[in-house]
Amino acid sequence: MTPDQSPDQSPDRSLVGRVVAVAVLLLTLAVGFVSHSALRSFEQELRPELEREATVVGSIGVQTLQRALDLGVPFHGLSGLDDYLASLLGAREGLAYVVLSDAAGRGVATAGQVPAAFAGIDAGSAAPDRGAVMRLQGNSYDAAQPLREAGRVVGWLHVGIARARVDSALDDMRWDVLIVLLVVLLATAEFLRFILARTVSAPIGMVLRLQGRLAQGDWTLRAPGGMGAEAGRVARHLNVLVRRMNDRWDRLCWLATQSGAARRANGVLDDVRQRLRFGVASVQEGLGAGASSARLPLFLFVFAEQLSTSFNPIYALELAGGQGGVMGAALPIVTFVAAVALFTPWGAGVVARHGPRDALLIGLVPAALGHVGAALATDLTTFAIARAICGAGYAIVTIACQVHLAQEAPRGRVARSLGGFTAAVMTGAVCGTAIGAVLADRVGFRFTFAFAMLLVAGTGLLVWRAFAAGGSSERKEMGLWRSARAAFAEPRFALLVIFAAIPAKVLLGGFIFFLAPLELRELGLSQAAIGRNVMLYGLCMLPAILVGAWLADRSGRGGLIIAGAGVLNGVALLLPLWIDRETALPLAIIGTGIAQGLAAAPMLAIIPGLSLLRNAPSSAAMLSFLRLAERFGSVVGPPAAAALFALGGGQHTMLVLGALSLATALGYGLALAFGRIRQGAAA
Amino acid sequence: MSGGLSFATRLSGVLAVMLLLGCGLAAGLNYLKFERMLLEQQARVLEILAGELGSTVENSLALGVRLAGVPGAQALLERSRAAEPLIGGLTIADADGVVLFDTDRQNLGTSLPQQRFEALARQEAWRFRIGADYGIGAPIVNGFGQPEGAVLLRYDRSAVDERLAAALLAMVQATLLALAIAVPLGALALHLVTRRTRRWFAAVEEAMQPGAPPAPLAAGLQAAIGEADGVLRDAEGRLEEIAAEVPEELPEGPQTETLERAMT
Repeated sequence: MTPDQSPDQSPDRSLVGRVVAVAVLLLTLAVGFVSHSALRSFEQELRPELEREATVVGSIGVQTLQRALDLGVPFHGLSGLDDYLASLLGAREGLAYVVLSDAAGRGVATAGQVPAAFAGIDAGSAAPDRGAVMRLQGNSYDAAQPLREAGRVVGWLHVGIARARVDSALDDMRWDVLIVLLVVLLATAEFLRFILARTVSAPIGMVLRLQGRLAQGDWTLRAPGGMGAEAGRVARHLNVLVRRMNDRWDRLCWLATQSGAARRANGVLDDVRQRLRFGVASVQEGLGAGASSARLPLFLFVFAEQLSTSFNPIYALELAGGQGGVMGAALPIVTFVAAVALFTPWGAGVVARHGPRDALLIGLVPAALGHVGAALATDLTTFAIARAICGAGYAIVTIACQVHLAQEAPRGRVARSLGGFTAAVMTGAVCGTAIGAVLADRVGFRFTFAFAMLLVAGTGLLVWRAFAAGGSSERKEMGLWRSARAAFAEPRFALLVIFAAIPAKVLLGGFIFFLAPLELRELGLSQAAIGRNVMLYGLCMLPAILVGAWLADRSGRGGLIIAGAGVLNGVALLLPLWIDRETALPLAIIGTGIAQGLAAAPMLAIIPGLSLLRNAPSSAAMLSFLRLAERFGSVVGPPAAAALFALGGGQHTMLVLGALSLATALGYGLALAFGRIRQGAAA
Repeated sequence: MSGGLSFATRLSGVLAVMLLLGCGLAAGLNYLKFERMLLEQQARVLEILAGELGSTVENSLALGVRLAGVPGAQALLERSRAAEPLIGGLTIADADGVVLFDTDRQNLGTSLPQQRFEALARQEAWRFRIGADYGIGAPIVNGFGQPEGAVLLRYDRSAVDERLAAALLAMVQATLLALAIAVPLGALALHLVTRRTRRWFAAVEEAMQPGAPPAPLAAGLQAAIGEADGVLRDAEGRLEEIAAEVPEELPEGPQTETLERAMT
């Protein structure tokens, strides 16, 4: 950036924000309008069906009563009415009430919950020849059918169907619409960010960099080709400009040779050379869109992977035919996590050998095959194997993206760049899990897996087109065990793993995935409400990741942020000590989301710096060990929480987990402080 | 092809696709849920009717009549079918699947596939499907709690399809209206919010043309170009002056080599 181009004047300043704001506004309005229309027509079309049900039940009751009247029993002499109406009501689910009224609309017998606003049919109202008089009474659809004595209407049998069934379905659909909206908004933001990075931000950065070099007199540069839009035209003009200047320089040289005064002419050329450099550089200036280019493929990949999160155990039970039990339901999850853990170090080797782009393409193959296998699985074993294959792909893809982001991170923005990794993973996870449940509900498990495979294939296409090749490590690989020894020999890495990474995942698995749903159910919340409460974790984590990354880059105190986040998480889990469980639980979920979001980017950002130390393994290897440790924490968390739960109940488990977080965070902070003091003393 | 499109157009394209996707998903997923609910509701109503027919037959059995000899059973089925247009056909079959009464008299005496009776043992209403036809079974149980047979009610989903078509039409209309307004509005809004950036690109492009007027947005670039231009122009002037003068003697040596190097 040149002096006249301060950050405040940058042409793309806040462009992403403004473009995303336009998209959010329009999408919300459009999806809201379509959903409103859909729900309205849904209610409109469903109402006659509900009324038909009330009519059918009513006609059964009317037939019986009419038979008695036809046999000569007077209307006011009918006996056992309350019992009969109660039996009519009890035989069918979803009925709100059954009322028998006389010709003047006064109630004679009732069963069920009659709405306060209920009014009988007025005397003298015309009775239909067939069917019923339909009305809305309070929150119920009321079907009234006449009873006749000698051709004269003597009473009405009212059957009411509660709107609650429709309302509950409409509520479900409203939540689904909100989920669709959230997913579309997040996905749109990712797509827009990707396009803006490639067509605006990166080209502007490149132009400003080239402009800086031109200002320093470097006329050997070349802008990259292959760009589209305005950036492409600017690049072409820039190359023409450089070519023109070089032609002028060539002309000067020619003029000098034509001159009879070679010494003086040479002096003139030397003067020019002192201020300007000409020629054609062998290497083109890069576009520098690398870091952002990894976010969209990662988002799409995680989105695809998480589509099945909500139903994997159910699908497993279905395939097991009810024979597998809880262990059967857990098997595909275990094989997936185990494969991710086992293949992460190997994935790091693949990334180091082939570079992030090729490693990504390699990793996407097993991921896609795994989804196909899951879609076609006929038994639990096949499904578990398919999930393990998906896990292998997941391990390679995530480590490749992390390494790519670490390699492409601009200086001073490592945490923000790596925070992009966690943000993309979290966004993909939130979107995938939410829409996966809706999709599976509508089209089934197998089609959802097939859709996941298509998304993975699309991700492959995107990586193939948008990712720059290269990035393989030139350092000689140490081998797995030597790398592990070298990584853990570095105290800062060992401290990070033991006091921050593993405890964070133990809390995530133990509290968010295991304890929180159980405790919320204990409070009497519905499944949907439990899901919404647990979703708070992801929703709070997303902005916290950005804040944590910004703070880490700004302050350079990533370690302190990690320790602070651990303390915050501990305090959040200790909240039941001070406030009631109804409030403490959601607050603890929010606190965990914020704390884990704050620590996510600084934790990753420490790695590239550590990998530069002497004898340290590559960044890819260290990241893979960090991921492996996190997986270990994820595996340990739920059973540890289950054991604590069995010993002392939910509140006790929360307090122990909170104490663990506080202790490890304080331990990490103290160890960092001692390390700093020792370094200062040594200096 | 897309290389010529401006970035604002590309963004508009993405927004249009996402609007289509969002509205399509909202409409499509709602439609699928709606279809399931409507089919379920229709089946609930018909289940009540089948159950009521079963109860009527059971009342006769309670009087000691055999299932095959229930008086008025054929007429009851035909009356019920005529009263409810949703019903495609009604059958009363014994526990072995032999058709005793049927609205389609050609079926009398024939045997039904056993899989339609699999749920009979549970003594609860069940549902089945044969090709495009849907069906509901209601058990007929005698006074000793033994299943004697079943009432089988066949129906098709044409009534539901009509309602679904109406709902789908409403959703498609809403989607098209939303897209017709949102897509141009989005393109316009994006055009406006990207104005500053597009101006910058245009200014940079313009600044690189020979003899371009001063552009404040590309001042840095113009300064760099101007400086190089000045240096080269000065050198050109000086060299032309030298060329116009009397040639000097050039000694053989490094200076001549430097000139030759510069040429290459």
